[in-house]
Amino acid sequence: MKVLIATLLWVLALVAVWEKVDVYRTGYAIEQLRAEKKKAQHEQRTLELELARVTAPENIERVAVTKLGMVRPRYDQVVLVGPRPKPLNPGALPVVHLASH
Amino acid sequence: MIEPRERRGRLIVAGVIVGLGFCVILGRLFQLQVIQAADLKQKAGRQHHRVLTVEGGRGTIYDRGGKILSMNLDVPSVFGEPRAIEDTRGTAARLAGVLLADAGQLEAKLKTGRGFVWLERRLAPEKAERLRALSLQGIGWITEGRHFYPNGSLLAHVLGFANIDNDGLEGLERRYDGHLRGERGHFIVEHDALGGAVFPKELNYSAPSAGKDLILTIDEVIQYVAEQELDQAVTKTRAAAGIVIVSNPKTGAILAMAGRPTFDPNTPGIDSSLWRNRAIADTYEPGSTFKIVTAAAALEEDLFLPGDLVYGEDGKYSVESTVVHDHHKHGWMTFAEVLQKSSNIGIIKVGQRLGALKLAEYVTAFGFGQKTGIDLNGEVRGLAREQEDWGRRSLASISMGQEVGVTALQMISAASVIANGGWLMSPYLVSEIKGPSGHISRLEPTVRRRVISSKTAGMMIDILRGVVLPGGTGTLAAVPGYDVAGKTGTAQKIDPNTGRYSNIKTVASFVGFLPAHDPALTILVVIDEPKSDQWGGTVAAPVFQRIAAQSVRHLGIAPLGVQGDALAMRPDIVSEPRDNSWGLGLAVSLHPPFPGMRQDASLSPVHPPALKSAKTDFFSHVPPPALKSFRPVADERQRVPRTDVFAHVPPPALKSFRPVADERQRVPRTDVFAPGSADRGAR
Repeated sequence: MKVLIATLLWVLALVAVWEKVDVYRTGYAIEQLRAEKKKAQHEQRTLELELARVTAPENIERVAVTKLGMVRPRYDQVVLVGPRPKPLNPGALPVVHLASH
Repeated sequence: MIEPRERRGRLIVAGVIVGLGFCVILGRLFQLQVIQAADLKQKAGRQHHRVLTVEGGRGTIYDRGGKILSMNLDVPSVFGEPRAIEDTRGTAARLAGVLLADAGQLEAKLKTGRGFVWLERRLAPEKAERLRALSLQGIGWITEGRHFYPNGSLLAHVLGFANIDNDGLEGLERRYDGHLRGERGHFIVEHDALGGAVFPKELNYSAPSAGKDLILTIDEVIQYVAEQELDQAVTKTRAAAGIVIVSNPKTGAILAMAGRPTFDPNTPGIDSSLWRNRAIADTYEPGSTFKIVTAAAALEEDLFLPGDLVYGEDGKYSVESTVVHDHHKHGWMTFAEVLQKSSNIGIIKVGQRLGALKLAEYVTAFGFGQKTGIDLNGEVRGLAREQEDWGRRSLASISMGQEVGVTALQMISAASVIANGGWLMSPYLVSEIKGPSGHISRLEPTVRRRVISSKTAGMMIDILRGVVLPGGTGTLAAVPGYDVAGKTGTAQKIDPNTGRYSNIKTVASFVGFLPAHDPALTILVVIDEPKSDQWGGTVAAPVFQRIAAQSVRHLGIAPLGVQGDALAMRPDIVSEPRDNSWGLGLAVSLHPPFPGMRQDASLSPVHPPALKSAKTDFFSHVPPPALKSFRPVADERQRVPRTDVFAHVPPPALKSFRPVADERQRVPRTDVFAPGSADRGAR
């Protein structure tokens, strides 16, 4: 009986310790994931800022002019296109009969 | 062999010693667990738990197309622990390479003997990366938020900037500081023996709240174009300053607002004069651009028609013992030609028939002498004295744009009244405020009042189209393929030494809108003290032309004769062309200025009930009775219902206006018509 009680107490103590250790282990894991999330968010914002820098009109014009050799178009180099012609409806087309000779 | 008696004595002694030991332990236990329990618990808590304060990130500012204009980023602030550093000189040398700082100064900081010393706060991201790679002993960092402006000086005066403690100091950063600033959060972290965080006690966790984002009405591309052209004009003419504003006349939305000189909000420096937004904080005498107010008032009061004749007195006219000259001698000219040729004498005669009382009413009705209500701090009222304070020559002077002090924003708002069919709109910069949870508050355009009828506006548009046609003073503002209307202005400045109008210092300006038949853009260019040239028609009009040409191309506004797909590209800017011609050879948008704008976002079409009744009269030749009886009285503003209550600050009641006692804004009433000066005074 004494052995049984002692064993039970020992098991209970073991469970309590294991539980505590597991809580700490999970805590470390949560903290690590939280740090990773924060790092990823920070990296995302850094990239967004970098994108904004790269796509700033001044930067685009600088690259276009200095690296790509582009120039601003003159009036006569810009053609604004009017409305697209409506697609033809085959049914509305006049039927042409070819004369057979 | 120990005697039993002796053994017992030893046992008693041992028992007493052990018992005393236990008593000591028990006593200490009682002291620790009962007497000092509260203090020790507190100490232990401080060692095992740490309260971390987390700043809520400041909100991001976007342009109307979603491009980032300013953004908060967590960056490290680097500090040193001098006592923990063995090789101070070597550490300073390595740090200097990363921080781009003087090694000697860093070394001096690290030799102070203090436990903690800041080395540099809020590092740029690239510096931070290199610092992390160094991994120096006794050098650490903590993260703090820093605001970045990826476009540098672009839109600097509007955006403003925030300081190192994340307080908005200027511009929108200041005006919307309450929205942009996040709320701090706190959580408690438990530490292990090495001081590392174990896990947060979630019950004690209060999450930080990120600041709200602002979506502006600014178009980054138009802003860039405006700043580029303004830069070139100011440099080319060696001007002291310059302003460009581009707005949507139908809503009051500001698409671009640029000023020179300027600054970089990333490094704002200490010269606060550069931070001033001249478009709202500086007043100037507008000169001839103000003639549109006099002319519109005369047409609205049915005193003139565009074809009525006015005699130009061959370029020389006496007003209250002062002789006024025109730049060119004119004989008989039509009312329309008075504006197209920018005749001072002609517009003075128009003003004289209108009378001081009526002119003063319309000056107020067009919004001069009052704040426009734009959502920026630091706006001034300008100077528009009450009629009873006018001098003998004030009627003539004000008719041609002297003796009044206006801000650039007031001027473009007044020109937009003509462009949009007679409505005075409140200009605004923020169209949406987006909360961290995704909730969006939209700020709708606000109508302040109807100033003139759509019929009068139509006649004025037709007249102002003539200004940019051959024979007008603004031909250099013409945009090939587009119908442009506008007005030049060349105003002499007061020489502070003589108190008279200077023959050298002028303010050259041009205000106009396009396409004239259905205006989508109003553009104002003001060049202050150009040196190489002085005239609004030759200095400011070309700037207008280049900005207008690039803006309509960017917005996909089709030139005359090209309709369809191009127009459909940006429905938020271009409303549908309307066939509302009523016999004056033009078609004008006669709807209230705001409907039909944007279906998907901030500018959803809204017809305020008060305006719907007026709309039924838009197509009639005779202005509706309500408009006939219009008087610029207080609180005539008609606010468009908004989806959320973030109203732009309303302008003060008109009746409450009093000229400010600020000498810098006061225009001397004497010497207005100093002989030999007035001939160029208001062309």
